[in-house]
Amino acid sequence: MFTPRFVQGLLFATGVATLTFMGQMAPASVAFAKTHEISMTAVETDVVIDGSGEKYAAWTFNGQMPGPVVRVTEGDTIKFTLTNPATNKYPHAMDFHAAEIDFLKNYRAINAGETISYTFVAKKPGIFFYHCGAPPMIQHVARGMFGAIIVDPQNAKAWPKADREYVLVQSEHFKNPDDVQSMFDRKFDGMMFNGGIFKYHPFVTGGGKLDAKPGERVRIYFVNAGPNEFSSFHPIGEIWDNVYESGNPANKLTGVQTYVVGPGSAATFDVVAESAGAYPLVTHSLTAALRGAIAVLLVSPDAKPAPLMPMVPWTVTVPQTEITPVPAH
Amino acid sequence: MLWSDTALPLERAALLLTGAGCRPSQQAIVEAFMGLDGIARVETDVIPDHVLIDYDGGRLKGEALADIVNELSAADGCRAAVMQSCITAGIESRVVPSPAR
Repeated sequence: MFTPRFVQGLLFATGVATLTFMGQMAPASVAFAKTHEISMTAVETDVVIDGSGEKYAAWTFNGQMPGPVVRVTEGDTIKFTLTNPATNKYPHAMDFHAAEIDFLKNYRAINAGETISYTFVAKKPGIFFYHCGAPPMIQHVARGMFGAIIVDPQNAKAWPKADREYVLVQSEHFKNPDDVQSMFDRKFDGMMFNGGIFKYHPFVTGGGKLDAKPGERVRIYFVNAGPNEFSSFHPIGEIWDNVYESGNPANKLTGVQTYVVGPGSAATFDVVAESAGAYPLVTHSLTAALRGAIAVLLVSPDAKPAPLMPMVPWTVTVPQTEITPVPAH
Repeated sequence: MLWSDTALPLERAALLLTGAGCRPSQQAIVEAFMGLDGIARVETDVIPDHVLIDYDGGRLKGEALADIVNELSAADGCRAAVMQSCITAGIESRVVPSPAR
């Protein structure tokens, strides 16, 4: 019997070449718990980080920044494998904040040409950070080796059903990826959501937006990858209907204007915008917001379905050669 | 959306359009912009009541783009202004006095 979540996992897997989910029936004592075989590859590659198409010499999981969203259900088992191809230059590692396992055995860095595997049970529901922990960890995180794992609660009725979901990962951008000292000195040059500066700011060249319909409960799974700065997450023109610390339905707050998420932490934010319009989601730490951490939630009756992390990877469109008709209004 | 075939170092201007004449003159506004050198892209369907213009910042200024709409006879009853708000991006954004009344 396939549960909807299992089917969703399979569908997701079809879109991510090296991330596979192999659902298996678990013992009756943990009814509906599944085992997921998740493989990721450390990829040292260039990624686009702004709307002008500027490329950055990133270190990534599976060639994208952030890495792929992993989604399981509370109680599921994750059999994880990290491959560091021989073509890479540097050691890499993986630390899942959703796991409760021995650090020494599982989170050690592996050299290029090596593989590491470990298994954990996602015991607690929530939104969790994952990241590379190879030294210097500050550089591995700053260069892009981070992502999010959602552990859905076993009891889907533990919180209101969301009509639309997004994952936002905040992280700092340092222009010189080799300047570790600037990372220690907290001299960031930009602030990114989902690996892009002003990625969801339609008033900035190349920027897009997040979409929703009026009255929809929009659920934002928010991770602060850091490596250093706190996020003061606020919806301009709105109030968070609910905030769930670490994304656990048991950690529920109501009617929150701004909520601080520290580096290496995460929270889930629900907002229901009743009226059409634009509602920018920002860190209210303005030196960060005005250098990239603004995501405009555009609420319109015409909003179309969207993936969890739109515009990842960021493909910047270049002007095409033919002139297309102006749409009629 | 309208594109040109010019590859440019682009900036984006967001112009707020106000007035009953804006919607009927939308096509004329887009065509006026696309007739200019240094314009790469004009979008009217992303943000309600706004036109987004990707332009060569070395040759044009956002305020000048607003003036083009305001002087366009085909856009009677439509006023354009550069959208300024708390999410105006970047450290290069500067203090701009309010226009004289």
